[in-house]
Amino acid sequence: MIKVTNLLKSYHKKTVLNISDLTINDGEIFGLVGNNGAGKTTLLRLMLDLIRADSGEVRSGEHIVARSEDWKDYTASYLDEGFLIEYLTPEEFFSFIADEYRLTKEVMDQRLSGFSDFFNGEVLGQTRKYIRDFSKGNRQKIGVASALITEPGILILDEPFNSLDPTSQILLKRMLSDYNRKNGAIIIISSHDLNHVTEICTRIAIIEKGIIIRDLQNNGQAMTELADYFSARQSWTR
Amino acid sequence: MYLYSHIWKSFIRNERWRRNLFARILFVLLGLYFVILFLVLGFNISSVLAGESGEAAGKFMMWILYYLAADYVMRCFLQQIPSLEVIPYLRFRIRRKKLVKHLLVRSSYSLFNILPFFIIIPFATLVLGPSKGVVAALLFLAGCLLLIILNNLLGLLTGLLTRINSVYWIIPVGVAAVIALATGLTGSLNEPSRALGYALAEGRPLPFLVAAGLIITVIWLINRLLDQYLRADMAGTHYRLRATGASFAGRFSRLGDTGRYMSLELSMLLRNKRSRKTLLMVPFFMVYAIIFFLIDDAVQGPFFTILITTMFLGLGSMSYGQLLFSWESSHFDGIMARKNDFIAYVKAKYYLQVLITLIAFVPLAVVTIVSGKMSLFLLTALLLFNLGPNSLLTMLLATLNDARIDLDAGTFMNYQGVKGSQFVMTFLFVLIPAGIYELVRFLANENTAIISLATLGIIFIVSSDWWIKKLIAETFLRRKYKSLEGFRKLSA
Repeated sequence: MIKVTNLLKSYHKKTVLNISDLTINDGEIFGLVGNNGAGKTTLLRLMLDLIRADSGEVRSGEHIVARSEDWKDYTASYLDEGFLIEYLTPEEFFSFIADEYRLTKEVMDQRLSGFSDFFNGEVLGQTRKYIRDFSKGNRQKIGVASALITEPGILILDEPFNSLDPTSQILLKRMLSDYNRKNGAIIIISSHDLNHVTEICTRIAIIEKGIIIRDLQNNGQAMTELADYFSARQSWTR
Repeated sequence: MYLYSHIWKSFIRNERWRRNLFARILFVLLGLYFVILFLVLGFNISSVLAGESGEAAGKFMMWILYYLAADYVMRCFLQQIPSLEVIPYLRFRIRRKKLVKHLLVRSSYSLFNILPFFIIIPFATLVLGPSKGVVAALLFLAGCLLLIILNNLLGLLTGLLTRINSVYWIIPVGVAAVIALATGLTGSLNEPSRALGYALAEGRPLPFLVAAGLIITVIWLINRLLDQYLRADMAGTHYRLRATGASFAGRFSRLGDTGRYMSLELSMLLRNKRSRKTLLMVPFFMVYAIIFFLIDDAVQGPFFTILITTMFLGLGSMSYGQLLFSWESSHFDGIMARKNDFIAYVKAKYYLQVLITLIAFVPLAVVTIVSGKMSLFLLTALLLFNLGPNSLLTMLLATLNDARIDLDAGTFMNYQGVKGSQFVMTFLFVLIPAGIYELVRFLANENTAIISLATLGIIFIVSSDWWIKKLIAETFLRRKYKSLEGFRKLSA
């Protein structure tokens, strides 16, 4: 369970995030949608203790993320290319991650084999190509896979569908749903694509100017509600 | 043209530049230093030569070919190729020709093009003018201008070629080899060099025509080359170091987690442009060290010798150590968000500093033994001091560094990530062992001074785990958020 309480973050006296209470329960796939600059990435970074909150806290299970590091044992994430080590080959990078999480080579290879369709033969086995030399889409795949191979209890992904081709988008959606179903893991994703979010998330929150203004259970109505919300917003701004 | 205004803006609006007054002062001071150095050199040479009778001018001119060759080779390694700057403009409605022209003009803004004139102009006015007349002096200046323009263009051409295919590095290496060979075979290039100088001063058309013809040819070549290759991908794969297939994983596996992080760190150092160039400074300074110990006889006492030796020993490890976490700035978010063994990670960085210092120690030890200018006993004490207090102090200071660095950028005059205060502090460390040595030597004797340095070094080396854990790691973690924020800033 992740519990956010009275979380406040501001830059240059401008509040960018203000969440008084948000609980994400075990087994939920939680989708975060919002326009550019709404505060999605800021919230995800706060959940990973990468930025300091002005006040309030994020609790992951028993742990307050800013005070302990134990939550890292069961948490994996991929927010942006800052999570890749660009001068390693994909295999070296995966081994590095596996070592960090104390996985044996056999376990890692076995888990990586589950990504063969997703990688489409373009990622593994390239010992003379560093991550920085891969296309944006393949870098995104490497990043997402590096989080998934640790089989975390909490998985946090920022815009995971970005730069992926249609086939890979479909595959990723299936992988995330399957993973959640099998392991009961919490998956938190942010996305601009309402279709993706409504397709896989069990719960969707709309964030705007740092405030969660809607929190919907995805019961079939969510797509209409989201579409209505964002198109209405467009007509205000006109 | 707005291209120029954009370049000026990118320079002046650089985050670090704006924030850091010290960097500005340092930059201006460095520029001034070179100008003054060359001016002093120019006037000294010229006033000495002017006082001489006979063929004074020839003594100056015999260096022309050597200078041109050295200048060319230096340009190949150090001169910035501004081709990357124009890539964002390719998508606009600007004619390719105009961009190429911009590149040519832009490449002339270089210290390499200005500095030689601080020597040539005093020579022309003080030596050549009085002895051969104003016309000869003017002709000589014009000839030199042509030769420097030619060198500038050749440097640009070679830079572009090496960027397209690294095979072309053979050109500057070949030039250096040919000059060395020609010197070896004929004794020296003084004669042809002198002949060239006089031909210019006498206004013989041949050298002028050849130089002008070469300039036109090189411009034409650059134009053709850029026409073919000035594409967005020039910034991509061609520009980067290619993967060699060499893996460092498991290289230090006996050291457990620390070894794992050391392998990662070594991959970083050897697979990125910026770090490779930083490491290349070590052999470069070793050559200087050899000159210092073996050739230069003007050693001013033990204080100065210790100062210089500490610098030679610690230069590599300090250049690496002062950017401690900044090296990973582009992916530090990932490191911190994942499970990690932070102490082992910092320890790995310390061990690598030790390794770099030890690598520098070996040639220095040979040189000191051969030259006899310093006892091996003292050198070992200095080594211990460098491995202990100096390395740990550098790391401690580096925890305060939150600048992002671009691993793909070159390093000459590149102080990205190096904060002014740190720069000064790091160089102050060099003073500490020399200071301790002098103090103890004054109070007791030389041997006690050496033993004190060694003892201090050993104490810190033995307790290094404690310092890393209690001081360096904790200091960093205390200001973690600030550093992470700094590392994310692209322009800083």
